[in-house]
Amino acid sequence: MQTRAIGVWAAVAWAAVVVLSYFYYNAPYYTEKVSAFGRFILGGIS
Amino acid sequence: MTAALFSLFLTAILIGSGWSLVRFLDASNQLTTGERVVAAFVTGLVLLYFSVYAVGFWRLDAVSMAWVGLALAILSLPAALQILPHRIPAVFREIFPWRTDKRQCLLLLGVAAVAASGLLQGLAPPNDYDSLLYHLAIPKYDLERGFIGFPWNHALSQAFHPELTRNLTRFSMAFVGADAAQMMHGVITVAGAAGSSMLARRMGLSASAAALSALLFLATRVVVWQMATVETDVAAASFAAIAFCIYLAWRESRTVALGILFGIVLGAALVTKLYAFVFALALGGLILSDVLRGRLPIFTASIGPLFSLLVYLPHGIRTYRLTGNPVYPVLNTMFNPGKPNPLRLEDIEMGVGRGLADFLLSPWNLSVHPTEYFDGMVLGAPIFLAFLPMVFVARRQFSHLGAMVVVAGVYFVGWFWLLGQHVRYLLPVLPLVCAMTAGGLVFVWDEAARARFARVGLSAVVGVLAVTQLMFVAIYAAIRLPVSLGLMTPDTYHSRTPTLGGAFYDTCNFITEHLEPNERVISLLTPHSYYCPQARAILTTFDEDSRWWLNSDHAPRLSPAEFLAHMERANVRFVVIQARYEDRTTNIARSPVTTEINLAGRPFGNVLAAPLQTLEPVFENPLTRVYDGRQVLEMLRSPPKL
Repeated sequence: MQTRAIGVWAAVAWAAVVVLSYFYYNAPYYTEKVSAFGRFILGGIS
Repeated sequence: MTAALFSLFLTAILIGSGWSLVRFLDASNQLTTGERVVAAFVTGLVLLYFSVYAVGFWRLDAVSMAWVGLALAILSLPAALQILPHRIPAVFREIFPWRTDKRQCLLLLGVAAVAASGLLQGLAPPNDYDSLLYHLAIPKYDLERGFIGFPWNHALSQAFHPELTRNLTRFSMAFVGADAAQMMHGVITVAGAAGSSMLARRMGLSASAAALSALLFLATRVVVWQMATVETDVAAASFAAIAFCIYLAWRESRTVALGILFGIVLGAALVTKLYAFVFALALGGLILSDVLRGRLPIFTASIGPLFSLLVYLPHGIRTYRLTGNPVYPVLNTMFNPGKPNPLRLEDIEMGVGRGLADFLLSPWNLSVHPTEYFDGMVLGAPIFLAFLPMVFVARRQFSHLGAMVVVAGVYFVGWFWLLGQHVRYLLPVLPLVCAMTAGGLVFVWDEAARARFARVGLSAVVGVLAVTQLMFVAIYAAIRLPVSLGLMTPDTYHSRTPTLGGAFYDTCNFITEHLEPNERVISLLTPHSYYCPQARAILTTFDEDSRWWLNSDHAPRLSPAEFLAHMERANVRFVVIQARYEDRTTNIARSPVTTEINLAGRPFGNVLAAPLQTLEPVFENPLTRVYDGRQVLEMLRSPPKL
């Protein structure tokens, strides 16, 4: 039972590491995309 | 509305026309009804592919395609009597069963919403680079000429790509237009999602996990984007998934007939995208393993590959006759040594490197650093990297996992060392990856029910990933649905929507409106957009020497006197140039970077650059200028004395 719990925690930890690394490296991408999308919504890109 | 109705009828006709053959080949009932339906759809597409060729080389218009449609409709009558009246709800329930729990209902609602949104977005005017350049431009070229020819003047190696979906586009455009073609590609994507779901069921996953597999497929960023276009990667993935499903049934039934069906569906992938050959090689590894372990007799095992090659054969013969290479533009240095290689690996190579360490790290790199080393945000949030590994912990619970790992693994090796490491070229194994990821995620989710805090942590991670992926789905819907639903004009849509390079919508409309039937246009646009006239365009050379690009990297350079002689004969009404290039793809730019283009380096630029500097354009916008061809001709005849 304890081994299974450790396994679940390990899986959650792995997934968390993947997600945090992804956002750490891709923050500029999302900033740029949100900005571009804002320009699209607000009336276009000139 | 016309495109939606057309897509509905064509989907029914395609399923119906393939149904009888699928029933005959699956007489031993190895396939589920859902698998039969999607296999019949793909078989119908293969029939359409050959029928459009059979008629289109002589005549390609609404009338000739109506004959093709009528023949397929007659072929689908037996199926209409058998399945249409009463079995559609049962088929849907089997592919996407809904009568169990809330989780399943929620996931199925997600599948339905994302699929419906993607299908409707197909009604938006096309604005993706490859469709403007060739996926739509080549069918339009053929329709303008009235038969399937070869657009030599376009100088595009992509014109030699396999044409299953291109024939679907030709057929759809002959009746309705590009919107119908886009919507039909959306239907193929839905078939791929069904394939992902059915793979999950064949693995032994629950109905919820199968729905999750379909949702993961549909919500992958490149699928969201391509579903509403006539791009071909997702179509290849859909056919590969369905072929793999049939293979899993075939290796258990061992019947020759099911092997033929497997071969036809795998052949559909081969005549959609050339890199499907790598998927076929990966499947070949599995087939060989099954033969060696005595699961398949060697004669039966050879039937599937043989029929897939038979489906490819006509395209291979045509391509060989024109280029000397049956898989042009791939492997051209092998078939045509000394001639141009359109797919030089060093020109298109992506990724970090090709060493063993790079290989082992590549799943991490392509998931976490997609925009840094690879072809952009293809997958979106790293859901596969986060949860696929969990499926191996629970490997004993699943069927066929070894087969899926072998095919996905061998394909990945081929992708890493043989192809240019574009992440979107991984799509043929995406449905397998979705099914395995769904298995891993559902396993961990259920296990975490016993540990409260772990469930909270897992919920947080899944929530972040789901919201991120939902953002891609929502943004594409926000961009394309308003114009699809008629709430925005195509003009506004094109002026506000980023594209790679530009669609040149208003420029091409100006030319189309003012060009008389016997007049031509010299185009220095990149891409020479689908919206412009195609058959009357002069792009890299005048028609006399338009096959130059098979033998040389550079277009023949005409002297001013030669150019003048050609232009006088060609009745050129307009000369359109791209004055500036707009780059929106950079990671760091918050607004597009506009660069002036030096015409001297372009085809005809050595002759046209000087006179165009002194002439006033008849139409102009920030990126393009259109000049009166007669004024250009006058200027060339008697250049101003300096």
